[in-house]
Amino acid sequence: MRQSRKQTVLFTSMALLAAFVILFPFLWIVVSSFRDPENFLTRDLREALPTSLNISSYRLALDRTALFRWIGNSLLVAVSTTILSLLVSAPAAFALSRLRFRGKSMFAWFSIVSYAIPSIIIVVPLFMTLVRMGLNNSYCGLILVHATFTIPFCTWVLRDFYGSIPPDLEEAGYVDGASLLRVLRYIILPLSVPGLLAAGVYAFILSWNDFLFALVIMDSADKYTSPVGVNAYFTGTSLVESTWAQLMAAASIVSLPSAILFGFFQRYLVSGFLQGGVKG
Amino acid sequence: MADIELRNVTKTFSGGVKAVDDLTLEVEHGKFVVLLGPSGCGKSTTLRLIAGLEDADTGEILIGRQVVNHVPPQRRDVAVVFQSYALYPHMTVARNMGFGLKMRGVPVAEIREQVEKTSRLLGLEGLLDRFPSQLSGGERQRVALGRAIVRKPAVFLLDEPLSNLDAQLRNETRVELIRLQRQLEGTFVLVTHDQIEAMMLADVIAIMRDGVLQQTGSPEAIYRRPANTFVASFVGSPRMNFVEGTLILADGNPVLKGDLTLPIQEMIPALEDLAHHAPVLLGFRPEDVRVSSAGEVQMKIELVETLGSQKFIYGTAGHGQQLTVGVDPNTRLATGEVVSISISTQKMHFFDAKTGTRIGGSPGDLARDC
Repeated sequence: MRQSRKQTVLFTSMALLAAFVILFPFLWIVVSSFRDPENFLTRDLREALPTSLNISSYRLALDRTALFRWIGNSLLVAVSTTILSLLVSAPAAFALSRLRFRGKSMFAWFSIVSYAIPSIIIVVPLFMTLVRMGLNNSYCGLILVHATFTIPFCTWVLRDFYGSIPPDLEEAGYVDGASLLRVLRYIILPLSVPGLLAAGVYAFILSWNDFLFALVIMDSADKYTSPVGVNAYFTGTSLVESTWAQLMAAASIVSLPSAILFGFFQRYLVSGFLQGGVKG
Repeated sequence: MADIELRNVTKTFSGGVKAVDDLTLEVEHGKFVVLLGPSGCGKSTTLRLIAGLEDADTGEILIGRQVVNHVPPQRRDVAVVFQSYALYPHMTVARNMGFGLKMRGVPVAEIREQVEKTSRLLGLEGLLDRFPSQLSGGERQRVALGRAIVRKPAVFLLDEPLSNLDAQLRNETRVELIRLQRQLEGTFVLVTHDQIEAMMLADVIAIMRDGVLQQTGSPEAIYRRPANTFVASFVGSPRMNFVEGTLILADGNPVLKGDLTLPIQEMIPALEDLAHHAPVLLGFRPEDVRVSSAGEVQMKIELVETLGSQKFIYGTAGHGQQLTVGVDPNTRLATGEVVSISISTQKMHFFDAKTGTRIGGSPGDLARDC
């Protein structure tokens, strides 16, 4: 159906407005991070926009905090969570999508229900469990906790993705002489790359952005992840005018990996990898 | 190369749908067998049972005289051409064709040689480095065939392989399929709902309905001597005419008395039992009727269909009896015109009006026809 010119203008305007509302806080953080740290708190909009790129806030943020250390911790936790999530959810999602077994629908239902429970409700019980297991204040503990919400999410995403791969391709593989493992290795896995990347990027971002669990589980400053570290430093400091600019710079640096990954994620989301193998 | 045998095979899906019901079928080595029937008749399920992609609930499936019920598809030595072609989208044409050989541990050099040989056979030489998304429908279909052929399986199973092709390409591919089957001397089982395709390709047609095998035989036998009204109306285009009535003797001559009164050739023994009391269905094909001034039935033309080499007239006779008649394409006829038609008494088929089962052996000249 062809859209009229008016409709196109209306939809484009709505999309631009939505994009602005979503992007504005992030853009404001980035823009503010380049402002003069000594003249940060102003009500004059002309002064609020930087006229030149002032990177002194970045220097200050990196010098005065252990930002690189925290980013390293975040990377360790997020990458491990992503790998663990994919290792568990990829075969689980395949089983839920393709195999027939008792309790399949119940399992699928539980996985989504567990994701729907607000984190704040389970944070204390999870912490108590980790203490008993001796995993509090450890990367392992935090990775396991992150996996409790990334695995159901990834399983759900991948289950739908596998559902979009025509079963004919799998059956063609069996008839061609491949075992289940070889069908997974040579047919399903290569076709799942976009889905695995999408699920993986989501898992990474969920883990990277987590503040609540990391704050509760990690006690020692050298094990802080970046959101907790940034928060701890700036709440522990008296917020004078120049620290606001540092906060903006630190937030910009911490947001960077998520932004880069989202760029990749978008690319794979629209990938037409499955086109052409079966009739259109 | 092997024969296929299905012995009392039944397959019921969840929800109680009986897709295949007590099917017994033999496929001789080197024959081209077509499973024909409408959608949902169980023909594709039968093919999948032979391939091992579905498990039979009861009965035995034999390939090469070996029971294969518990043999997985990987070890059945069959090749399937799927309706969707099911080409691996992330592999080139060459890799698609060579995948089966690779899975069987054939050395790379030999795979390349076999793939090149098969690609020459199918005219795919220039396409080996392309991906399926870069191919036309006809090319994809040939790649799917090539993938099946390249590993020389005992049995080729083809699930509506021509249904996604346009009319011209479908005709060309039918000829190509016959040529390939003769060249390979393979046992082919093809599933289709297209009776013209079945008539053209098959050595043997097995026609199914609601999971039940209705009749097997050569295309000629199926056409000339259909086992029941379903087969009679499914095979042949336009479909067979049916007139219901009772058989009586009028002045000593056998006659079908119903909506139309039609003389019949002779009261064969099977018909004599039914005479005077049980209704029968008389069937005759449009081409076995001719327009003649001495015809015994008056028919009012409602539609004239001109197909170039053929012409059919559709109309009503008696009290609204619908009839289709094949006429000489050069005959000038118009809608609304009333014509006299005469039905060849030698080409009449009789069926039990209640069960639809064929009565007797007419047309009796089947042996001469086939």
